[in-house]
Amino acid sequence: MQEISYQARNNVGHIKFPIHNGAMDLSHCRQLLHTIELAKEDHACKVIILWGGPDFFSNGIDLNAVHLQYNASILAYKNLKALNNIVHAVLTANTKLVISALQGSASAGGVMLAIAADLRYARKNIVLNPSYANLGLCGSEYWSVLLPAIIGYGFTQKLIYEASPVSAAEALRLGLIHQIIDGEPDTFEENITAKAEYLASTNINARLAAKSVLNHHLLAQMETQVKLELEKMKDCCNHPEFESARGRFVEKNGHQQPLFLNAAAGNIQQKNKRDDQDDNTYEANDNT
Amino acid sequence: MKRMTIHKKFNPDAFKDREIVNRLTQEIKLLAARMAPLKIMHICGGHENAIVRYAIRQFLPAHIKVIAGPGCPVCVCPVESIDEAITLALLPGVTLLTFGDILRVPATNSSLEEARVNGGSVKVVYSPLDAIKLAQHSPQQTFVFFSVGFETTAAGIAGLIHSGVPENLFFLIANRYMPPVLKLLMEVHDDSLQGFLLAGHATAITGLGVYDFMRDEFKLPCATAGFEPVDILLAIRELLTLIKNDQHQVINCYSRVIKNEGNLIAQKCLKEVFDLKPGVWRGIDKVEDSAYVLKDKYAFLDARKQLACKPSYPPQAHHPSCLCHRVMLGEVEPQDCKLFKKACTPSKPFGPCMVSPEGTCHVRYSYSEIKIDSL
Ligand code: SF4
Ligand code: SF4
Repeated sequence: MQEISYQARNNVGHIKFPIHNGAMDLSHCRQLLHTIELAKEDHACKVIILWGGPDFFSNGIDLNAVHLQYNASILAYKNLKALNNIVHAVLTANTKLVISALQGSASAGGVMLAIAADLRYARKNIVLNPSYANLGLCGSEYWSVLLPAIIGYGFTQKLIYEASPVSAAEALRLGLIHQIIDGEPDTFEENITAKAEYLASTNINARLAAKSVLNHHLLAQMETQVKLELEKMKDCCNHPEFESARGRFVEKNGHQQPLFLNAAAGNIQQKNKRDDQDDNTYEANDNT
Repeated sequence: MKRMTIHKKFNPDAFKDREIVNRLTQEIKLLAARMAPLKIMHICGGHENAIVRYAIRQFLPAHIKVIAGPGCPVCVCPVESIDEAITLALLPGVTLLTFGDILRVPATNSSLEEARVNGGSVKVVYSPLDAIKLAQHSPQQTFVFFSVGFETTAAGIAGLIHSGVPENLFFLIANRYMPPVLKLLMEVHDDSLQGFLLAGHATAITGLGVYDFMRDEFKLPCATAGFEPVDILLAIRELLTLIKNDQHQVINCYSRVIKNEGNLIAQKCLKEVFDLKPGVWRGIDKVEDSAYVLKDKYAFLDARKQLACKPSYPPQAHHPSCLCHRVMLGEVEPQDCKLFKKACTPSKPFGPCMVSPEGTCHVRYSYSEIKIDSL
C-alpha cells in the first residue's frame, strides 16, 4: 500500500499519510517531506490539507523501529531531525495556507506537525498529547516556538511539564485546534474539503499576506530555538531515562497501540469521571 | 608574513622544530583572528596521540577546536567480534593469533587476555606473516588470525590471502573502512563540524578520491596530515585557509607518505579479496559499506563460516557508565566520563578507549599533564 499520497483538486492539495500506528520512521519522514515540498511547488495548489491517517494523525517518530536499532540514540536523533524538517517545511510554506485535519489522535512530534498548520480542524474523539516527557525526551519539532505562540507560556508549561494529554474540547479552548467537526469520517472530509476550496478560491492573496505578517516573529525565532531543542534532545536521547521509557513503550504496547495514547485515553476517562463528581475542571485549575 | 611551505626533502627533525612550530602557530592565529569559532575533527588515533603528546591544542586559539573522532581501530572493533575471538580461542585445537593491543579490551564477559588465563590459546603476532609461519610450523593445529584495523591492516591481509595461505589458517575479519563513517559523523554533529583531518596511513592506501563526497555532498574541506607537530599544524593551517575561502577540496598535507591516488596495488588486492558490507562500529552504530568481509570465493578461509565461533551469550558493547561510544563520536571528552581516571585506568580499563595507546581515553590519561614548555 502506498502510505503517503498527494492529490490536487480545485486549488487544494490533499496530503494523506495513513502510516501504521502513526509512527513515522526515517523513510516515512523523508517521503512526507518530499510530498510536502511537491505540494509547495505546485502552482495549482493554494491550500494544502494534511490529513494524516484515519486512526492517527501522527504520533511522531517510530519508537519501535528506533528501539530495535543497534544504536537507538543515533537513530532517534536522526529520526527526530527528519521530523523537524517536515515541521519546518510546513512552517515555511509562505505561499500556501496549510490546514491540518485530525481524523485521529496525535502525540509528541505529531502534535507539533498538526499545530504547525495555519488552520486546524479535528474530529470529536481525538486526543492530543503534546508532551514528550513520558518518553524521556524534552521535545523538538519547534514545540518551544509553536506552543508558547499558540497557547501561551503558562499553558505550555503545564502541558510540557505535566505531560498532560488534552481532549479535543480542551484543545479547542486552548487554541490548539480551531474547530471540532462532528459526524462520520466522510462528512468530516467533505466539510473540510469544502472549507479549503472556499479559502483557496476567495481572497487567498489577502489571507497569505496576513499569514506572512502574523508568522513574522515566529519564523525569526525558529533557528535559535531548534538548535536549543536539538542540543537538549541529543542529551535526552543518550540518557538512560529515554532507554527505559522506550523499553516500557515497546514491551507494553507489543508493537500495537502506542503507550502514551493508552495513558492519554486512561487519563482522560479518569478526568471525565472526576469532572462528573466535582467541577474541578482543567480551565478552572489554570485560571487560578 | 610570507607563508611557510614545507618541502618534500625536508630534514626530518624540522618536523619538530620549535621555530617552525612557532611560525605556523602565528599563521594560524592570524588566519583564525577573523574567523568564528569552529570545530575540526580528526579520525586517527595516531593524530590524537601526537596532538596530546605535543600539546598542540595549547598552540591553537581557544575558538579553534580540534576534536577526536573514531580513529582508533581497536576501540571501534565490535564487541561481537571480540566475543567470537574469545569463543574460538577456547575451542580445543584452535589457536587465536592477533596483535597485542586487542588482548586487554573488555568484551561482553571477559577479554582475550582473560580467555588465555582460562586456558584459551591466544598468541600475539607482530605481522600477519608471523601467522603464516606459525601455521606452516604446526600443520596439525588450527590457527585463526583475528584481524582488527582500518584500511592499512586490511590491505596487508588482502595481500597475504591473495598470494595464498596454509590450509590450517583461517581469518576472523573485523576490519573497518573509514570513509563511510564520516557521513554518520556529519549526521550526529549537524553543521557544527567545519573540516576533517584525514588519517595518515589509511589514506596512503585509499588515496584522496574516496573522500570526494565530503566536498560534493557536505561542502566540507578535508586534509591529510602526518604525525609530527609541524605536519599537524600545517594541515590545520591549510584547513583553516580552505574554510576561510569557503573552499571544500580534499587536500594532501602529508605528501611525503601519501600519493593522491593512494596505493594502487593495495587497492587492487583489497578489491580482489574483500566486499564492503554494513558493519558495527563498537557502540557507535551500524555503518553502511564500512566492514571488510571476505568475498564468497574466500569463504573457505572465513573462520565465521568454517568454525564454531558464535558465543552463547548476547553482546554488550559497553559497561553502562562507560561513554566510549560518545567519546569516539567526538560528542564528549574522556573527562566527561565519571569513571575516567577513577575506576577506569589503563591498568584496569572499563572501555576500549582506555586500552589502546591510540584510544582517546588512554592518550588523555597518559599525557594529561603535558604543557607547552615540555615540548
Ligand atoms: S593506523 Fe595509522 S592512520 Fe590508521 S588510525 Fe592508526 S595511526 Fe591513524
Ligand atoms: S574513561 Fe573508561 S569508562 Fe570512561 S569512556 Fe573512557 S574507557 Fe570508557
